[in-house]
Amino acid sequence: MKSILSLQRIKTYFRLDKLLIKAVDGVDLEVYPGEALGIVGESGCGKSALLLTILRLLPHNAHFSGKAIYDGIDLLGISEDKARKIIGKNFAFVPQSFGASLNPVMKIGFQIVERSLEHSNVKKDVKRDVTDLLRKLGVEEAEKTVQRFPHQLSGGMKQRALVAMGVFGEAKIVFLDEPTKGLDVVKKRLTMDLLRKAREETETTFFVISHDIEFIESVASRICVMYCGQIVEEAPKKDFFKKPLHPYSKALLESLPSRGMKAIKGEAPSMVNPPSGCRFHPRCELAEEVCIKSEPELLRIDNRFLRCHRGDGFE
Amino acid sequence: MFKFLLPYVNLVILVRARGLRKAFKVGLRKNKNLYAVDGVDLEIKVGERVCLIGESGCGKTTLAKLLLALIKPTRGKVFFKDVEISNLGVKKLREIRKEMQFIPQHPESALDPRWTIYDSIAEPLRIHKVIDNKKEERERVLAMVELLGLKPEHLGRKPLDLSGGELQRAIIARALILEPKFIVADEPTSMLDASTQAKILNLFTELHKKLGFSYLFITHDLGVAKFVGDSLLVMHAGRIVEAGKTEVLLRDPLHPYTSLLVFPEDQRYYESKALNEKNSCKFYSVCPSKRDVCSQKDPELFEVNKGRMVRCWLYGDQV
Repeated sequence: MKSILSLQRIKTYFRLDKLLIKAVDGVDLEVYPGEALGIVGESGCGKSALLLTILRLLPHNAHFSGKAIYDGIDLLGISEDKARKIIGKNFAFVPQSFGASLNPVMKIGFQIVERSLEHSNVKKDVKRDVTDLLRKLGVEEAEKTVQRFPHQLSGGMKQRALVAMGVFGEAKIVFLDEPTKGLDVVKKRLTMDLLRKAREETETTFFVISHDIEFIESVASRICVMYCGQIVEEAPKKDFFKKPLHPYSKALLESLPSRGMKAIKGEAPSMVNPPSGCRFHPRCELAEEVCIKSEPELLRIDNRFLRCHRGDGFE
Repeated sequence: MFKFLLPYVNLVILVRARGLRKAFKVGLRKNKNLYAVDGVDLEIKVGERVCLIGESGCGKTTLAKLLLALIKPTRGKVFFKDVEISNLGVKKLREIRKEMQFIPQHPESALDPRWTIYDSIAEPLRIHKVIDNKKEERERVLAMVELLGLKPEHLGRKPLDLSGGELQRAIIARALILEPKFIVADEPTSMLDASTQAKILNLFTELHKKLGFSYLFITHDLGVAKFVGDSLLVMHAGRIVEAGKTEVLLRDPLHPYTSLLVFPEDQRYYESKALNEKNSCKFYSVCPSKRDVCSQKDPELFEVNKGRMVRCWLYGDQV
């Protein structure tokens, strides 16, 4: 299958005084149309930096290299203005903390269609489209809701409005950054339901970043695990949760409350001086001589990718 | 006059709340009452591990603050070691506060950004004048820091230079340095990664074994609740709707609200609507198994088995 977005050797470095922080250090990733790709990893592993790089939203002290090819155009190779136009037209972004990301003095309906209006890819019946979409997402009085301001809505309604904002106007890819951070169980479940519904209703591709593995398990179709700026494993969801191959993925799953709550030993490494060889070796129980000396490549094993010297041969 | 300071050695119940209510003034003219905590009775025994679950906005944090006497209740009383603390003056409260501590939800905003970690951890010792010289202070801070798995080099740093997990350890160190009898932890790991959360929770339960304090752990993660609590309280709309041993309660929830939390597959998502009728059950509008009596009379907390309480009319006639 042909990918919709192709990321090639993406590196993003931040310069702070004399320090060089290697937030993203060589990411190759293909995003396929119609899938929901879930990126997981601990905080500080470079997930959000990767997302900001693709969307060209990085601050000025950041340096990036590599290619992000969408529709034959390298989004990182052209000027920011040009890239913004393509990105705004085809991608949607749902930021974290849903309470704070809505404009308090603008009506909900307008906020949902704003991105599409800006890039003039709206059809005639905007109003009907919005209310239809909201109704599909479970808003009962959709006509009234679009006329309301954020403070008049409950938390669940705001969450629905944000998801609608992402999906509306035929965005080709919807990027979600930690959609469940700080939400309670009930709202988290609602977000899962909404995303599943949105996937059924549209053919949009989803690119979801989260450290909440249970959430990713319920919404994603493919999982990609990041560790210290690199991808260490990439696999279809079913295979990943049945048998994670990378020792880090395994440890990450075992740290979940439902799977034993075993902590990963050691601390996450510094992004300034990442460990030599395999970046996970100081915390890995299976580390050998070779892991310290040479860095493993991201290799293909059947339908998945793995960055580990042991391949899939460890038990 | 300082009778309440006498050590109560053989006391079983450490913290007790009776008919606790807290109203906040809301509305444009501040003329409406919103009951964040609406009639809570609870008891926490010495050394007990209690977990409190409920969705956001149900009054968990307000209850925590009331129990620690950080805010005054509108009605009701809080007792700590049989001393009523909800009406104490500042000075007397300070003596009591030595024995009760708080671990907040957001570690990044709970420490002064201009202070070093050492100063933040030592501050409780200074406030309560437990220690008279710097050397002893340093020893106690170092001992506590070692217990929490932080390194001495962390002490000289400022909060900005620490990761979320390290910050949370520093905050737990600050809470424990006075060797409190009672700790309220308000979702201490909800902002952390699963792997860091596992580390902090393992550490916290080990510390509990070593130091023997009682705690009230607030969370909305059922997996976490299973891990940290012996008994569980379920809160909805400012009330305790179910209480019991964690294991039994999660295996066989009685209240419709609890089953909704525990078995999400059975029920659809709901949004609770504010009910105007004062005399109906607060869960009435969304309850899947409501009866006529539910809309007419507010249920009390009925005791179903020993130690198992449910606020639901379904179990009311058994009493």
